Amino acid sequence: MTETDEPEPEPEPEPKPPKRKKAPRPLPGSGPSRFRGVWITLAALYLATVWLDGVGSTWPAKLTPRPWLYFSQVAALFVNAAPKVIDYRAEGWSCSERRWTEVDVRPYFRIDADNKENRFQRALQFYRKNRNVMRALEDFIVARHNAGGARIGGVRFSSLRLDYPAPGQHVAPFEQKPVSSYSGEQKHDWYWTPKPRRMQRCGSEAGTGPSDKDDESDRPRDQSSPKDSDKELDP
Amino acid sequence: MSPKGAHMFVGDRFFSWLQKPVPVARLELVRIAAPLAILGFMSARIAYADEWLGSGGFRVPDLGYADPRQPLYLPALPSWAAWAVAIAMVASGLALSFGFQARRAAWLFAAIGAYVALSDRLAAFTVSKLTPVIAIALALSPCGARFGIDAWRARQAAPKRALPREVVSGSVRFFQILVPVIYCASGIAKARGDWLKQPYVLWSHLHSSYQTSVTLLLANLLPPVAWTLFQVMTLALESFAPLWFSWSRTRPYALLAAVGMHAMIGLMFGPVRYFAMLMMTLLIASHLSEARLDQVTARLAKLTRS
Repeated sequence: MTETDEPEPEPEPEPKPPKRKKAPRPLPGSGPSRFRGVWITLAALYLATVWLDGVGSTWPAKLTPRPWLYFSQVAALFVNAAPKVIDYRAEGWSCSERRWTEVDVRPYFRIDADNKENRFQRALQFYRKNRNVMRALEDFIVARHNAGGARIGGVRFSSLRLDYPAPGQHVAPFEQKPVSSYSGEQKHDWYWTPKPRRMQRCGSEAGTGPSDKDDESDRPRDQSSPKDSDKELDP
Repeated sequence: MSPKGAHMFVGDRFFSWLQKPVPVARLELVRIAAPLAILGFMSARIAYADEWLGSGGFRVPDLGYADPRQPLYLPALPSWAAWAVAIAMVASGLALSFGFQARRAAWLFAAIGAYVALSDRLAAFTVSKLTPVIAIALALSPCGARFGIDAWRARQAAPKRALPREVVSGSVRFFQILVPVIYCASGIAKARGDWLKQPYVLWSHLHSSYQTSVTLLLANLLPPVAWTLFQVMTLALESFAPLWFSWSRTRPYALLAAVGMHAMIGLMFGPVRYFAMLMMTLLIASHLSEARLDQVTARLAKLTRS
């Protein structure tokens, strides 16, 4: 009603539309109407969470339960330029040869085995600085590898950081070469099995132990910084 | 403005919009195509269910409440249970897509989708997270009423009763808002990231294991400025998506641009193709003009003879 509360004039009766074939009535939404408001509120909250989390607000992380936030993190993919092409690799400490040799982990991680959506690649991408997860991954790979072939006493996980061509230059197909073909500058070790555990696993085959690197004084880092773990930035 | 419209507040307008009938094809397109795109994405995981959900694969240990990447720890299933979940997911997804007990199937598909997304964080991506959301929205709608097995059975039971052409469903409205919201948030995030600072963000993502033959062809064919142009167009499309998709004049062009963008993403980033299919499904179902939808409905009706 208007401020003066004047009754509105009766609207002119509209001319009847031409007769059409009677269409079926629109089907109403399903579900009891008393819950309708709840669902509308939840939908609005979900959309607000998607938007706020996507634009970088910290409110959703502070205010919403973590599963709710998790299912809302569907926006903000590829927001930054890739500085390098990253490829994660595994090496095993050969008990018989007493040196690191590359381990093909694809038979143990068969889902999307040949691309970076592979679960091994993702484990390193998310948890490479988390020692608990890396140790669990070590146990898993050592057990799998030793069940089917030459024994390894431990593992070393690393990332290859590869340059890509400048715009306009020729782009070659992505190729996974042996880890030994990359330079030390391109390879960064994130985790390796400490020497005592490698010796323990190798037992009598251990010999004098690792000879290429004394890693006991240089433990892999354990820095799960919340900064780089808050967001999933891949599709 | 009509006299009625002049007296409507924003909330009234919203509820009026919410309750306005929409072509049933908007709902049925999502119901038919979204589960197929999701199952396509899940197929690589389902094939190795024991590794994915069971004790046969690597599991991230329970990290406790402190780790934001593990919203809920769910232990590995015994092998038989992992396969049972995978089979139930395929069955419910296909039932939903074919419109057999569609709403019940949608609830089951949503529950399994939520479980698998939480169970294995390493194999969960955006499609995994959207699965329960889309399935719940379908479960709350009268999906399956026009096309599919449920509709066919209803027709057999009452041949004289016409099947609905329109539907009043908040779920359709949800899908219509969801896509621009995702785009807008992504656009703003990109603007805050590198997209306004570096001219070759898209170029930088062409070199990983996502590469396809189309990626290689275009990367070697197009001049560098083309990638900057695509970058600007993507940023403009996403950041202002609520405007482009709410204004009837820009909507057809926005739809064309967005479908084109996802088609390119699907062709150039191999593993992301199912995400592209899902987004294209939501886009077309939500924002295609009613005239075009009528054509789709007529073709679907011809196919299903309903």
